[in-house]
Amino acid sequence: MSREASAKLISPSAVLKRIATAIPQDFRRNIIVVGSLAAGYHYFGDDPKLQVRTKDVDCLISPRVRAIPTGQAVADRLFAENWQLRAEGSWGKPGDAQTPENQLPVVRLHPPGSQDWFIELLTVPESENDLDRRDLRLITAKGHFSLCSFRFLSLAEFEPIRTPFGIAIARPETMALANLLHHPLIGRETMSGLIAGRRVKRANKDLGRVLALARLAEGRQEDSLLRWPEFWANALRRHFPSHWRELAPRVGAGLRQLLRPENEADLEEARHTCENGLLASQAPSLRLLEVTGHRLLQDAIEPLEKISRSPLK
Amino acid sequence: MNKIQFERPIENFPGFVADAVEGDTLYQVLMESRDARRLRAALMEMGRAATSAKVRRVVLVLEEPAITESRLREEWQGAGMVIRPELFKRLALAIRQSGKWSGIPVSPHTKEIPVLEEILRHEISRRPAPAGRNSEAHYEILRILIHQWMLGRGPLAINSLMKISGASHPTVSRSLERLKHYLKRHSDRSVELRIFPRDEWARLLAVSDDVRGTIRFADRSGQPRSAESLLRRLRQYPPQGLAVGGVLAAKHYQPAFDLVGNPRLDLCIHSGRKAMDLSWIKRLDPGLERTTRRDESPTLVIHFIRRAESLFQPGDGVLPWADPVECLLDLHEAGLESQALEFLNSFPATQGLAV
Repeated sequence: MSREASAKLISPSAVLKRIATAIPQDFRRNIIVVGSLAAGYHYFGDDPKLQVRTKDVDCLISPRVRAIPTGQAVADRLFAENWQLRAEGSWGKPGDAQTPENQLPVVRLHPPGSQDWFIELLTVPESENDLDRRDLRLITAKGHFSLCSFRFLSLAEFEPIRTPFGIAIARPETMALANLLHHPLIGRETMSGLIAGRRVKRANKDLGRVLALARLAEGRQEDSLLRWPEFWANALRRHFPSHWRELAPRVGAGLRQLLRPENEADLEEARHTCENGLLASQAPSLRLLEVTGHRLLQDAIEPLEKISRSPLK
Repeated sequence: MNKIQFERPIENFPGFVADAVEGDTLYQVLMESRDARRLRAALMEMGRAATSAKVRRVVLVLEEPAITESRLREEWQGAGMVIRPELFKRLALAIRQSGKWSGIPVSPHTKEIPVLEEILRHEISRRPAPAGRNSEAHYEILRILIHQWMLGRGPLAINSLMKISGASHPTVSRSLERLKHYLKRHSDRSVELRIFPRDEWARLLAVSDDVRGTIRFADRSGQPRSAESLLRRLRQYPPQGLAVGGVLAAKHYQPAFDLVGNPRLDLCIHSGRKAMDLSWIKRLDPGLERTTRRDESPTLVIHFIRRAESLFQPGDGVLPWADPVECLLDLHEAGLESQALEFLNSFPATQGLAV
């Protein structure tokens, strides 16, 4: 099924407001929105003409100790308000007590009366040593689901930006860092659905998002990428205190691979995802993305590598 | 022809940058080489580059070498004695002499000649444009005299003029003869300008690109960095022999200078007659590419100063300022004519004499 094929342009601030309003007030502070919508809100939330093309709105529940009560409260409230489970083959049906955790579906809900987008509930990993996906059983009024976590999602918890709606958005810097760390090389795995009619490698989509974030950051404020390395170092020290020096040198590996001339087909896939995602309102050229990638390497990644080699503080 | 990639680093050979790579062939260029030691060193580097797993052939391209063919063959055979045979058989020399191609051990294949031509075109384009030595020396002397005059420093001894310009006595004498209508000569063999030499200045403006070897870089990303951003980055890794010119330097000399914003960054490089390594420009901004189109607004403009003494003025401890005459040329070159006039007239010594 082509999940993203029908992704529509949506207004980041309208969708964030819609989500926040639907979430019980006491739990709004535990929600951090990550991904395209968060970035779109950050960079052009105040401009109704600029929209992002996305279908999924990833809502991270943080901190981990609040994951279950918050997940239950949010899911049950949304069910009660007639939000609809996203039908996605066998994944659209809730599990039960007998369903193994790793086979439980994730909570994915469309708002009432709209199929344009859906929210997905996630949580942060328990510790920096959680290397892979972890599923946490979430029991709701409609059945059993998984609140899943991935290793680098914890970075989104670092200094998130509070919105006037009560929920927070992850910082573009930390989203970029998580995506870079997640793809130290361009693997063969492709997205489950097509992106605007094309099959795209997951790494190219995520690294393309990194380039889009860097582009938007530079567009908003010249030289802003120069502030990323210190911010990244602090986020890594906070969330990976034992591993940050090993992780920092890996940050640029996937991007360097993407920018090699022989990998132009991968960069083109990244461009395609930008054009059909975060940069829908300002489609980038291949050359622009290439330059943005080199600027990011010079301004942020190489200085981070240098910080990681500096003596212990 | 595959896409030619220029100035590519090579795996497992830190610090080495190939002049060009096409497919699995690596090219190094030696221009007008008259030095057998350089040739020998280049051959050894080629042998080392051939150890890279991604390289099948390494070609040393010699443009108009001033070394005889028999000497080239001797050097080639000498290299063959010290480079491992399995690597040496992957090396070749391609030689262009008076527009004709030959090679060692064999002439380049006809299919390869367009690649070689393209590589040489690129190599020639990234070097400062040569100006005729005589006119270049004359305009250096002219600029030195104007510099002395703008700053109100009084007469300059001819020996000093020779020392600053690096020109010989006959060259300086010829130049002073050409400028005689503007000069005041003193009995102690010193000279100074009486007035601004407008005609000579106008001639200099017409050829200043050639005289200063001006090269321009434009943004290719669609999101250009400002002159201030480029300068901030330059201060972090300042290359040797470089000074800030243009509007920024004009504002340094005359803080009241009337221009809002800096449309571009002008830099002067004190290069003498050497070809300069400009690889630092990619670090300044990977979005910059050299442009020869005059209808395109450059973001960065570089001028080469070839006289013996740079006349740079001390800056903030990191980067010096180009001298006011270079700034004046930069303003003209940027089309800022009224600002150039205002700048010239802002020096106390020039008032009433510049126009």
